[in-house]
Amino acid sequence: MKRSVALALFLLTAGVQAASAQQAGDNLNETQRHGRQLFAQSCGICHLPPERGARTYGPALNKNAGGGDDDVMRQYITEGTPRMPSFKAYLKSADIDAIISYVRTVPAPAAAPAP
Amino acid sequence: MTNVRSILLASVATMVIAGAATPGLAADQILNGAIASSSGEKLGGVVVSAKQEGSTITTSVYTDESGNYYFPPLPAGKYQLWSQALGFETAKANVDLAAASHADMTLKPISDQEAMVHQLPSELLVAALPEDTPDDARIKKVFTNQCTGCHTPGYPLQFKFDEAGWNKIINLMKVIPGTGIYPGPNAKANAIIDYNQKQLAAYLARARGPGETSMKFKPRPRPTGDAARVVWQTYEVPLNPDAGIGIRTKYNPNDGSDWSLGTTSKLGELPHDGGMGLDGNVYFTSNNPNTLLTIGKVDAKTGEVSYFKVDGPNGRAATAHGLTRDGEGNFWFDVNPGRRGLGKLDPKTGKMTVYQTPNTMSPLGGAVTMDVDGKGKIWASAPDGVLRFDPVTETFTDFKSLIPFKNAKGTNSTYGAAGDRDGNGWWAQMAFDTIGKADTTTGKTSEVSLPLLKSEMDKLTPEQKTFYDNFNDVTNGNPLPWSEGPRRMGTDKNADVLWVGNSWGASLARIDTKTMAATIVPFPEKTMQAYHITVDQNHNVWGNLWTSDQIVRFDPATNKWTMFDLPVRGTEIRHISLMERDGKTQVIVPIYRASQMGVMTLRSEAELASLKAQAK
Repeated sequence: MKRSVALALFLLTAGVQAASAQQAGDNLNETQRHGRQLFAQSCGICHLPPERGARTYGPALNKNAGGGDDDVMRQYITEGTPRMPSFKAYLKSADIDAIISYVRTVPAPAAAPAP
Repeated sequence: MTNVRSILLASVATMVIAGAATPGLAADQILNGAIASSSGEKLGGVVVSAKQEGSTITTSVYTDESGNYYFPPLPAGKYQLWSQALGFETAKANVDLAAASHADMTLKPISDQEAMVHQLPSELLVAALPEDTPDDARIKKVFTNQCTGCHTPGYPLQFKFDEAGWNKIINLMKVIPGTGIYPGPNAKANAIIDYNQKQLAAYLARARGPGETSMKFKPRPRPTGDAARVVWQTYEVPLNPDAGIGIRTKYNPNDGSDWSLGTTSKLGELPHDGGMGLDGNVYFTSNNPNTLLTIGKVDAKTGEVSYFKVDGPNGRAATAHGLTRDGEGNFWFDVNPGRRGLGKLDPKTGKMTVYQTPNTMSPLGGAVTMDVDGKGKIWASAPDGVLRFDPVTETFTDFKSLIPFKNAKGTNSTYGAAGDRDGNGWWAQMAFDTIGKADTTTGKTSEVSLPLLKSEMDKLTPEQKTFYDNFNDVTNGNPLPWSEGPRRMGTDKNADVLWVGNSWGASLARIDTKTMAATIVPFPEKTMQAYHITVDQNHNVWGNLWTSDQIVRFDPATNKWTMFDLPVRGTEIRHISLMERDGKTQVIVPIYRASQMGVMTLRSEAELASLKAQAK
């Protein structure tokens, strides 16, 4: 017996937006954009989710990372932690500053409502 | 034969989500120019890329032996133009085609060693890894076999860590499954990586550590001939907004088009398999869990990306992996709305249909690969064999692997699948170096065992050999050192030949579909890890190399290999397909890691001469 069902198609047209315009309209300066690229490439494997809601190896990073202290973040990146390697052989000082600059633009998640 | 039960899905939607600038109205121009080094030497084989302002499409060509380049006609407008060659810094220019269509550029040699390393493609980084001692050769094999299942080797090799740092990286990597999701503390470690961890960390620290590197870099000739006459069009695909840096930005901040940025992160990428529709547009599957799409479509003229979605579990889109096009232009793919079935997309109407396998059969599964045989039947991987679907009667037939799915040595999960011109089916049992054949006349299954890599066995000490002999968790992504690793495949529809891409053996397997005689054809470079294979109308074998920023063409009549460079770095391509019509051949590849779709068009010498005559 055959019960093949044709499926409806809906065409939803959202605002067509040029790629570069979208990227440029992100309210980041050049240093922060550079930091975003470095962050995605060098830090994302542990600090960004591979899919929605997925557990990550390291904590999600936002403007409060390192207690909001840039020196603490710089120390983590430069010297590593028991689970994280030192990046001092790879990232230049300006690169680390750019990453920190970008992370400071990431908003902290809203506090969970009291139960 | 069994009946079909189709399932009703809640919704199928197409959403236009991104676009590019409308091409200019003025007459198209032939952008051209010359590339020279700062010492004045004309440079052939240099890739020159052009991107119109606001567009998501990049067009790339290569300079000829005189250092001249000729783009196909481009719409008038303002373009970013850049040229790249290994060992040289990227040169950039801005061109307004309404004012000028000629632009020369000068490339300056790179003086900084790390900058030079950063722009290298994976295959050259692997080639530079030491292998002069037995231990180095053995650990290099562990790296290329065990550390490329989730990422092209250029990704980790761009970093520099001391031995302790590499150990920390391996501590994580050895517990990460194929999903890329950290399973939590006390997760089971990959036993092969665990066994080799100490030496692997030391090896990587010597190669990519704070001290002097053990790597030996060798230059590679730039493209010439056919490989320098191609045109690439690469289309940006938005990132998954729920994954990776996609949660913060729409497009990958490093889309691989600027080699100096190194190999990008793949988190958030969307395309997996791809193909060109008869409408000239580019279609792709996405097996990255997401809420937006099952199949994506890129308008080849505007770059606009639209989505076709089959509802999946938990508010997500059903994922898809394999893709093929039939003779009528329909796309066939696996689709997972909860139980993995077969999907069909008619690009003319946008109608999608899902055919679910009967409960008496395995669902589609494994690393699903799709093909249409010479009789018009659809073939797809199932975890424990292969499935054939008859589009006329809408019925499935299943064929089982002779080696059990779960067995004493590991998991025998199907990878690639294909149908031949006689209507028989083939599938790769990658972890067990075995190719299955489904004879549709007799209904029986038979198998071909590929020869093992004895040279890799010979590198092992008795203690190491004993370890691997007792290793009982072999999977597609976790092979033994002597495995050929047959992955995806394609048949010659004009001959009795099946070609299989062997990932670990750096070779092709040529199998006579009548006699089942198998011949191993080694790749010219052992850094070349085959992934998917397709065959053109002239018997040429095309393959993508997931650990190279190149695709390969092999002419079996002349035994000639041609390598085609991609203009993108960090490609990690997992599929290749062709569009052959009107005397033109186009090669379609999803540029997986960088979340782009690529189309390579071959140009003849006469076409180039014509463009040269028209160029101003």
